Formats: sequence, C-alpha cells, structure tokens
Amino acid sequence: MIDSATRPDSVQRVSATATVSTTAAEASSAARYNARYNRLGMSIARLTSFFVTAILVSIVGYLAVRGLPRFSPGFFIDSPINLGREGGIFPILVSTALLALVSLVIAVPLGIATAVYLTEYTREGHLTLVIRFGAECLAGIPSIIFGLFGFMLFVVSLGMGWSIMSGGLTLACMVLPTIFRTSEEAIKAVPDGLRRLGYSLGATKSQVITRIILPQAKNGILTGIILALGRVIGETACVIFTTGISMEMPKSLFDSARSMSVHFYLLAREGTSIEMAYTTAFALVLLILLVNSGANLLMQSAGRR
Amino acid sequence: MTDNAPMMPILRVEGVSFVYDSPIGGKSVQALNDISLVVETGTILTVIGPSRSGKSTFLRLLNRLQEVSGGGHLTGTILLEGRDIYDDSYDAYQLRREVAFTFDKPQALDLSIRENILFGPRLAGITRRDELDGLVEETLQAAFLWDEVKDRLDLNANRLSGGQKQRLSIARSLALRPKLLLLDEPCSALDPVSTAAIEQALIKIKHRTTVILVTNNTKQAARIGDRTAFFLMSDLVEIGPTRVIFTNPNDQRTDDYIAGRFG
Repeated sequence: MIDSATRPDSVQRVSATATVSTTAAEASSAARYNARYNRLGMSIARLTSFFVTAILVSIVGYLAVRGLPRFSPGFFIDSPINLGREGGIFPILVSTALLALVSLVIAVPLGIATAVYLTEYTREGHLTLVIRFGAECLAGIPSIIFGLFGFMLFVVSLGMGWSIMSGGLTLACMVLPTIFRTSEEAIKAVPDGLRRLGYSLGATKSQVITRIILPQAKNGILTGIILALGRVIGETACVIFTTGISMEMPKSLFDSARSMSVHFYLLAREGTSIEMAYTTAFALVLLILLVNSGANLLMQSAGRR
Repeated sequence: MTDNAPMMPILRVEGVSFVYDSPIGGKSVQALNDISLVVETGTILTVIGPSRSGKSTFLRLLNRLQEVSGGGHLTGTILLEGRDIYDDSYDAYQLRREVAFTFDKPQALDLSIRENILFGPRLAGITRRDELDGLVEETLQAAFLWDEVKDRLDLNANRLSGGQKQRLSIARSLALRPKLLLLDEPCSALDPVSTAAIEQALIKIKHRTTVILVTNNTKQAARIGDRTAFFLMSDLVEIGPTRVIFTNPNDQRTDDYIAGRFG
C-alpha cells in the first residue's frame, strides 16, 4: 500500500531531478561564463581606477621631487628677489588670495540669488530654460576667452587697468555658472514639505527662504563655492590678461598683481628659475588639493544627513 | 446643508467650493462642492472619507495654506470667529498662527528640538527667554513628549523617531498658541503607541484649542471626535455628533463607509 503510493511519486521525483540536473549544468556553465566576465570587468575597473590615482600621485610626486628642495617656511613669507630666482612668493600668495576673495565676494551672492530666483520665484518656462542654457554655455567657454573679455571690458573700456579688481571681476564671471548650478541643485533637493511646514508656522516667503531653504541647502552651496575657489586659485589665462604680472605687494585692489599660477607660468616660460617654478607649482597643487578635500568632507557630511 | 450648533462657533464655513486650476493640458478638478458647516469652540471635529474626497483640500483652505501649494478658485466664505479669513484685511501669516496645521508626514526642521518648537514663536516676535523656555516645556508636555526629551532639548530633531517627530510637530503647532489646530492624517504613518499618545494629547488640549482632525482611520474618528463630518467625492455628505454618525447616520452612504463596505 505504502509502496504503491510512493512509487509513482518517486518516479516523478527522479525525472524531476533529471531535468533539474540538466538545467543545473546549463546554469553552472552560465555562471562560469558570468564569473569570467565579472572578473574581466572587475580587473578593467581596477586598472582604470589605478590609472586615475596614478596620474594624480605621479603629478604631485613629480612636483614634490622638483619643488621640495626649495620648499621652506621662508618660501611663503619672503618676497621674490631677482625676478623670482631667489626669495619667496609672499606678495604672490596675498595677490592670489585677494583675487579669490574679490571673485567670490561678487560671484557667490549673484550665483545664490540667481538660484533662489529660478527655483523659488519663477515657474519652469522659457525664461528659466534660457537662463539655465546660458549658464551652461558660460561654463563651457574656455578661460582664455574670459580673459580677453575681461581685458576688453574691465581693463580697457571701464578703465580699471591691469588690476586685482579687473581679474576678480573676470574670474567672477567665469565661476558664476558653477556656483549658480550647484546652488540650484542644492535648493531643489530641499523637500517641498519643509517649505509648506515653514508657511504653516507663519513664515513669509522670504523667511522660508532665509531660515529654512538656505540653511538646509547650506552644504551643497558651500561645496559649489569651494569648487569655484579651486578653479579661481588655479586659473592662469584669465588672470594674466586682466591682472597683469606685477610681483610687488599690491597696495590696493586697483594694483596689478600676479597669481601663483601666473608666477609659475612666467618663471617656467622665461626660464627664469625652473626650481622656483616647481616649488610654486607644488605649493599651488597642495593648496588646491586642500581646498578640494574640504569640499569632499562637506559633501560627505551632507550625504550623512 | 444646515447645521445648528449649540455652542459659540469658532469657525463657520458657508457654501465653500474649490476648483483646482488645470495643470497644463489637463482638466480643472472640482475638489469641494458647496460645503457648509460650523465648528464649536472647545471640541474635536473629526473628518472622515475615502481618499480624494476633498478632506485635505478643505483643511488647507482653513488656514490659507492651499495658496502656497498651488492655484485654484475658491467660492463661498470661511469665517474665523466671525471674520472672513479671505478678506484682504486678513494677514495670511497671522492667520496661520491662529489656525495651526500639522501634516501627515512627520517632519522636523534641521534644528534642535527646542528650536523646532521656537521657530514659529520667534517669527512672531517673541524674544523673552523665560517666555520661550516656558513655551517649550508647556507644549512638549501637552504633546506627551516632554518626559522623553526633557534632558536633550538641544539634540537635532531629526534624530527622533517618527512617532516622536509627529508629537514634536503637534508641540510646534501648539507653540503658536493657535485658536484652532488642523491635523491632516497625523497618525497615518505611526505605530499604535504613538497614535494613542497623540489622541490623548488632542483630547487634553481641546478645551484651549479647538481641533479639526482629518483621518482615514474611522475608529480613530469615533474614539476622539465630538462631532464628525463625512466627505465623499467633494461633497459633505453628513455632519453631526460623532455618536450619531457612527450609530445612526442619516445617509446610507455614511453607513456604508463606516461599515467598511467601500473606501
């Protein structure tokens, strides 16, 4: 009784196992195939990421080897002597900082205001499309074109001459799209619920923007500002046309000055002092790495929330 | 639909209809159709009905919050203590302090627990330290959250659980010292314990602050409502004492909804 009841079942089970075993064979070959491709993909990915890191490490390493012999505290606090063959880069550091300051003081409020206007005060339409498209085009223009534009407008037409002011204004035009787009993305990422919550607590529109939206978007906006700062510090073409090449300590924002990247460019091109050029380059790259790590830390802390 | 209230009404809604502006290319949508009702001071009105019946739109019209989330056309009048809240002379921001709102989704401002509560009062211009401290304790007590957070008022409010955040939302609304508190399905995402705490809180505060609670949970409406309104497809089908609505409604549709035959 038990036998007759189990036998057909067991027969069935055997046949079932048979089909399973064929599909299992197919599956395992497919799995081997997949695994092979997986390994290949992984090694390609590993190789390329190794390349990316290797490029950075070799640049920084090369600059360190060439630049470190002259790298000392004195390099940062002394004035250049004999066209930069001796001494340090103190006035050049100050000029670089002033250029960055002027450009950000102008570009940051403008960029954030544009972002607030487009996200909070307009509906999506032709106007916003045009503004956004314009910003994207602006971001794609080579910096030397900005340099020429700044030269024509600020240096010549507005009579500011080669000066930190002309350079800062030109750099501001250059990084405006970066700040505007990152601010816009950060503001868009603020949940709508928080806006409604603000209104429900009796806030006006401007209070919702200044007390809820901007604080919430703060990290994203700061990230954009720091990325812009990195670009401003490293910019050469734009600056050489608008700020000039004076090595003196600037006495006002309307003095000509020299940024670190311009200093490096001139030292290397004129063959004045290749050693000092590399030392300047190393300092510049360290500065930019520092600025970008700051941006990274901020992005991480924004992501954690 | 007339509704004779025995007590002095805090809110009188007369013939209110609301049509949402058509989104680009779409049809405009009638969200509310000729709603009239009154809400008496010191009571809880629970509003029930299936989703898309107009309950939440109705609630958002009562403190003009609808204005900030999208366009639409309103007819009829809404009187708060006899004053038309859509009159030009009525300051919408002041109105939102008098008629506070708690949303369905628990959400906190990215600030400390204390500053979440004080956000509204500070905007209203309250600066005295002792008054602000008093508000924090008083409102957190009222929302049954004080004991859980009294030692960590400076903790970021986003670290609280969903149930705690929702009680914080109620405390934050109460800190405006509103005459009327509107709640839009405040317990839809909460566990039973937090839900019970919120229900208790509402019953406790109703003597000072009249409550209108929109809920999808008919049992909740029955538990804490003094009066209940039933919305269906943009219409107010029926409003009356909660006991009557749940035991002996006038309208067959109310009976069907409460019995769970649809919705």
